Formats: sequence, C-alpha cells, structure tokens
Amino acid sequence: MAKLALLLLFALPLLLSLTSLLPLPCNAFSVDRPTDRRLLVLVDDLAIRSSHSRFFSSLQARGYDLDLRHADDPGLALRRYGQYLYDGLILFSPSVQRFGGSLDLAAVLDFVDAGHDLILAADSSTSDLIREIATECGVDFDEASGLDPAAMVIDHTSYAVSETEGDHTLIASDDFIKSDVILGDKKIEAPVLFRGIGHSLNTANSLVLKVLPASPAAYSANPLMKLSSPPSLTGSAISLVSIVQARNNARILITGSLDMFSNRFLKSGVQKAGRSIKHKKSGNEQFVTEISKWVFHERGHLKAVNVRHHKVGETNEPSMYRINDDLEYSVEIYEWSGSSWEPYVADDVQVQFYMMSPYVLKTLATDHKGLYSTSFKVPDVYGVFQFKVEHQKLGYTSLSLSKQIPVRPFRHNEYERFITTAFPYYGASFSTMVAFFIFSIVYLYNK
Amino acid sequence: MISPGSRRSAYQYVPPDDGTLYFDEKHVDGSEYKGPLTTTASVVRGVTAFAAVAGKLNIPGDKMLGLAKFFLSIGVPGSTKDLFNQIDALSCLESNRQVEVTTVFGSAAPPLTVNLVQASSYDKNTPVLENQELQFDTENNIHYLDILPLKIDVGKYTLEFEISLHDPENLNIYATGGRANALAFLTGTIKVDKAQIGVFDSDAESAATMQKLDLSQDNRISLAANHLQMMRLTFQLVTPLGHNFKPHQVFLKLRHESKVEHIFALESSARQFKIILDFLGLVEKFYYLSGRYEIELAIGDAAMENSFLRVLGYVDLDLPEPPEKASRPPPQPVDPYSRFGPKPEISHIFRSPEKRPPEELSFAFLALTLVPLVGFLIGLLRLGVNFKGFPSSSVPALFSILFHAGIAAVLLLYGLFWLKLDLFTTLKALGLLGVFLIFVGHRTLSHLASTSAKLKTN
Repeated sequence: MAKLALLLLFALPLLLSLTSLLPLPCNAFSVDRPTDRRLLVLVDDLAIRSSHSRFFSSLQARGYDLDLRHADDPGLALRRYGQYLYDGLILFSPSVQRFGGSLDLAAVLDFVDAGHDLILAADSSTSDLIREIATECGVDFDEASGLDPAAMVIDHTSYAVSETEGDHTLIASDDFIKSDVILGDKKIEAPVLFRGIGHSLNTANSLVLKVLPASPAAYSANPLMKLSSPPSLTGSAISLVSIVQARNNARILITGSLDMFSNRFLKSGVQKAGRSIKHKKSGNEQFVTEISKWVFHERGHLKAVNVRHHKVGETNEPSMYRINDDLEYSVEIYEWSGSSWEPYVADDVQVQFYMMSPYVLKTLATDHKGLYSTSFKVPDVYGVFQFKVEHQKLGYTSLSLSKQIPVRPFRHNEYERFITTAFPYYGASFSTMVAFFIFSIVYLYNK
Repeated sequence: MISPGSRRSAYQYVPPDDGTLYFDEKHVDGSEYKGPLTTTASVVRGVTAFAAVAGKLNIPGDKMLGLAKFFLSIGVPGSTKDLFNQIDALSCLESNRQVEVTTVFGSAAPPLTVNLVQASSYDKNTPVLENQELQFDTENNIHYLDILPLKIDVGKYTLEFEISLHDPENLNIYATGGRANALAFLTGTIKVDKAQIGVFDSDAESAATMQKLDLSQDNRISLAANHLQMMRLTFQLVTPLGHNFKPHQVFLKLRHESKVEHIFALESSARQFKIILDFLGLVEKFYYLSGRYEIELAIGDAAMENSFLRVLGYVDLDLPEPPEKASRPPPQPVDPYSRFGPKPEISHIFRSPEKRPPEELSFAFLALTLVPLVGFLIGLLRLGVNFKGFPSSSVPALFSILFHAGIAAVLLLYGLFWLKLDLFTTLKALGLLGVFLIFVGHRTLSHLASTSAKLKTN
C-alpha cells in the first residue's frame, strides 16, 4: 500500500508535465475578445500565396495566424477532440472538387454553425462543392456558369477602362453598401475591380446582404458566345460581393472573384468607363482590408451588460410590477473595436415590453457612454411580460436580450377609496343611522 | 521535358491557351512544398548551369518562351524569396538570349518585321485583313499598324501576328514566338436609328400607329394596353461605316411596380431589331399583374462605345384577374436598409376611466339625502317629544345610558369600518359590543317593560 502511494507521488509530477505538453485548445474566439486569431487558408494552387500575398500579409500584420494549405492536403482538419483549431476559414480554392483530410461540406457548415467566420472566393472554374457551400449560405452562383463555364459578369456601362482587355468583364464598381461598420469610416473613393462570376441572393434568406451589387446594366453570360435567350441573372439582382451575418454572429463573405484579392487588382489603377477620373490605385485594397476586418470581428461586435429595471424613484429591482407603475429600464451596450470595448453610440436601440406582442416599444436614450435608458408606464394589462431588446443593425452583431417580469393587477385595497359619485349613498346610510339612534331613544323614553 | 533530378519527380504543365510553361513539384511529402515558382526557377538555374558546362544545349524556342511567359505573368510576387527566384531565373533566360519582340528583360530587340498575317472577325472567321506589315516606330520601339485608312468596321477581331527576323544570323540566338494570336476590339459609336414603339390590336398589326422614339434624348413615352393587344418595338443599329451592328446585349426589360422583372432578348431580323410582345401569351408569365410596367432597353457590346441602359417609358397593362391556381409572383428581395431600421414606437393605450357625473351633482344629491333626517328632527320637535320615560332610579338609568352608548358605539364602529377598519377587526369588536349590548339591552328593556306593566296593572 505504502509502495503504491510512493509510486503515485512519484508519477504525479510526471503526469502533470505531460498534460501541460498537450496542445492547448483554441482560446482566441472568446466572448471577451471576439476578434479571430487563427485562420485556415485553403488554396487550390500554391501560386496564390505569392499572387495574393498583399492580402495575406495585411492579415498577418493585423495579428492573424495564417495556416495556408493546399485544399486537398490530406491532413486538413477543422476540429480535433471536439475543439476547433481555427477561428476563421478562407476558401481561395474555387476549383476544388473534394477537400483533403476530414474536411467536407458538412464540416465547413458545422464550422460556421459554431459561430466561426468564412471567406469564400469563387471564379469561373468554381466547382460544385464550392457552389454547395455558397448555396447553404444563401447565395446562388450563376447556374449558367455551371453549364457554360465561361459565364462571367459583363457590364458594358461600368467596366474598367483597360488597354489590354476589351470584353468588359473587368468591372469597376463603386455602388457599395452604405455601412460604416462593414466598410470602415473612410469612404472608398476608387471603384473596386471585379472579374468573375455573379451570384444572386436567396430571397427567403433574410441574413444575406449585397455589399457590392452589379449595376442595372450588368448581366451574366459568356462574353464569347452569342446570346440566344435572356440570361438568368441580370441587373441589380446580380451581387458581386455578399455578406452573411448569421444569428450566432458567424460572418461570411462570398464573392465571385478570386482576383479581387490579388496583388494585381490591389495595385492596379482604375478608370471607370464614362468617367474622366483615373484613380492611381483601385479601391480593392481598402475594400478587402476593411471587409476582412469586419468578417473577422474587428468591428461591429456588440455586447450588452447590466440590464437593469426598477420603479421610478427606487433602485432595487422588484420581483413584480403592478399595472400602471412607472418604471425605468437601462442597459449598457459596448462595441468591440478590435482591441477594447468602446461605448456603442446609436439612436435606434429599442426596448419592448412584450407579452405575445409588444405592448410598449420605446427607443432608448443614450448618454453616449454606453448607457441606454428609458422610462415608461406599465400597461394596464396583467400577465407575464418580457423586457426585450432586439437590436439588429446593418453590419452589427444582433443583440437579443429578454428578461421576464410578471405584472399583477391592483389589490382590492389599492383602488380609489372615496368616490364622489357615491356620496349620496354614504349620506343616505349615515343619516339613516343617526335617525335610528335618535328614534331609539325617543321611542323608548317618550311619554 | 526535363527532369530536375532523381530525388524529386516533376511534371510539366502547359495550359493550352496562353502558352505559359512551368514546372511544378509533385506531392511527395507535402512538408516542404515551395510552389511552382521556386521549382521552375531551380530547374532553369540547373539547366543554365548544365548548358554552361556542356557548351550548347538545344532547347526548343517555344519552351523558352513558355518559361519566360510564366515568369512574367506572375508579376511581382509577394515574398522576397519568390522575387529572387523569379529575377534569377529570368536573368538565366536572358543571358541565354531568349527573346520575344522585346526581350524578357526589355533589352532592345534586333531588327525584325512583324506581320499581321490575318485579322478576322471573331464571329464569322472571315479574314478582313491579310498580310499587312506593321510599321516600326523607332522612338517608342512599337510596331504599329494604321488602321484608319483600312476601313475596318467596329467589332471583335482575332489578330494573328508573325515575327520574322531580318538577320538570319540572329536565328540562332533569338527564339521567336512563332505566330501570336491576340483578341482585339475595335470600338466605335453605334447609332440607334428608326426606333419605334407602339401598341396595336392583335388582328390589326398593319394598322398600328407607331410612336417614334429618340433614344439619344431622355423622353418618356406612356402607353396603355390590355391583354388582347400587342406591343412592338423596332430599331436599327448602325455602325459608323453604315453596316448593321449586332451587339452582345440587347435586352428589353419590363418591370412591374412590385419590382417583378421580365427580360426579353431581342432578335435581329434582316435589317432591324424587332420584338413583338403578345400580352395574351404573356399573361401567365406576368403573373396576371396589372398596373404600370417600366420599359427598359439595354444595349451593350464590347465594341460599342455608347452602351446604354435607358428607361423608355411606361406601359399600363390591364390584365385579367388571376384564376385560382395561378402561380404567385416570386418574393422580391427586401431593401436591406429598411430591414434594419428602427421600428415605429408603440405606446400602450390605457383604458380610459369610467365616465362620472359632475361632482356638484353628487353633492346636491348628498344634501338631498340629508333632507329626510332634518325633516325627521323637525317633526320630532313639532310633536313635542319628551324624555319622561327615562328611568329615574340610578341603576336602571346607568344601564339605559350604557345601552344607548353601546348602540352609538356599534354605529360608530360601522363608520370606522367604512373609513379604515377591515372586516375581521370590525367583527371582533362587534362581537364584544354585541354581548355587552345584549346584557345592558336586556336590563334596560326589561326594566322599561316592568315599569309599563306596573302602569297597566295600576
């Protein structure tokens, strides 16, 4: 027995040191620091490492660990022992038919469902696998380009003027979504160059958004073939770059152009057809940098803390309200700036007092230091209510807070006590009582 | 072609379209994969070194060109290592005198002639130009051909160049690219002519009254039609040289108020573009949606400098009511800005308090209820009440006083109950008072009864 104990004593430090040697699980994607850290980049041609190096080095300069692998590398895995090894996935492998290792469509979707981020870039050689991933995200790449692999987005009115290319598939687009949180505070002056396939959004999916729609004159077709029937995708229905902000805060960027991220497009100048301004540098670099900041949660991530409510004039939170009580509700909301939590400033945070449907919906006033508050009167309907904050703003993670609170009716002695209308009744009964008293005396002692 | 060594096996990859050539490593161990650039560079370096030792190595010129094209097509690579590989390999090629029209590093080309062998229209494959010698601009080192006097129409052309060297001695030093193909667009302004639009009954096409359209100006037309009518749009596209032009994109778009779009590709008949929309046949496709449709015409081509998308005007369609089984129009995407905006505020409408008569009325009736009491008191005084029956002896008098005080206490308790007491306190107090009242009441009443009985018997 003693020997066994001795052995244990001896073995314990060894065991401890062994466990510390095991790889630590991924700890980057936490509630407190939502920015991603580890990214897996899958390419189908390792030349992309050098042809898209600017994009990769801008990511590395911002502190991301890039793991660049060939898409059919047999050692690919997104999770090990139930832990995700990466926070984000960049699919720069449009033509891959099957991923290597344990990665497949379901694994990618599970990865996103677990709240991780995805950048997917396609081109005219896009495989069915990549299409399926996009379809699951609510984006349908032009089907025609499946049958006819050369279908591209063509735009004869807003193409980029180029000396070497004239088929107008190099599109210069500057119709960005109006959102500072997605594309940064600084306006992107130069148009973004795009060459690739178009996609349309699934109208049933309310989470997917066009960041860069094609112009109304664009269409998706093979520039070398004559068009016999109208193309399936035309005009503003074509999206060049789309994003998804899922309910679990996973973010997805989908684009039909892998070239968009390439050094060549990042560096080249651009002149949009019909305009005299020639920009020295296309908007691509700013665009892909800013949007990757958004995708990897360097911006637009909200958190709500300190939800409080109490009666006006009190500080403690009651367990129940009475109808017609005046109450105050407050919540603190902060926005992740990439390094710290900053006060979130908006004028459209709303609270609902909700039972089956909202009874009260009020916009919260902010003190610009993160505190949002309002006061209102509890409706004269009793039941179990909820304080609900459903804040959904373009580009921001959605906030969904709810706190249950019962509302009771008046107690029997809380109603109005002396009603003027009833004074005649009071008067009648009391005068009767006085008369009775006098009458009893008179009746008994009168002779 | 060349295997760079026994340890690693390499394969070559020649994409058929642009003639680039490079070496790529096969996946042997995957741990140290350097990419095609590094591999190709090391192959080139090896071959150059081998050629330096062996004296002369006869490598076909197109292979050299392929390698050079590959290195140049990369542009400036990202990592410094790759850049070194690229420049090193290119200088190897350069020192071995492999040259295009300009050499790969841009050193001056020897005198040579560039012939435009053939320029043919892309669609028809009929040659437009043949065997034109390009002029050489010595200042800019550009070979050019003046196309203005050649009367070539706008369009898409395939150009085929052939390079021949002037000096036969150079043949051993320079490798030429053979025939080079290039796709060129000759752009110009296309005139839209004789545009007409009109609505007519389906049985009287000839009697149609057509409205003239001027597509260079922004004027809107407005038409009205029902499902028994047809709409016709015709126009001509003419190149600057007066030929008919068939652009890649000729779409007519009808957009309903609810954003449902219908696109028609226009076919070109002999001289003009023409589309006839028979609304009777299109009713189902239009989802039976009556109302205003916006007419948009998009004409565009790579060779057309004035591609446009223009709203022509409106047509008010009067379509029949949809049958029950008609398909519903597809849902239209929601505007993202409206989807996220703040919702309108809701404030609860409280139940209004019940209507009450004015206070004065209540007080008036209160006074009215007190009138009988006053009348009663006046009546008593008028009757001349007395208290002669009050017991004269002290003990019954005390009981009488206590009895009436008890009654007063009960009435007071009643008043207190109205003011503030609850039922339990009131009942408790009433129980005590009741017992007391029964006792004193019994004594008082029995005393009064006995005195009245005495009076009767007397």
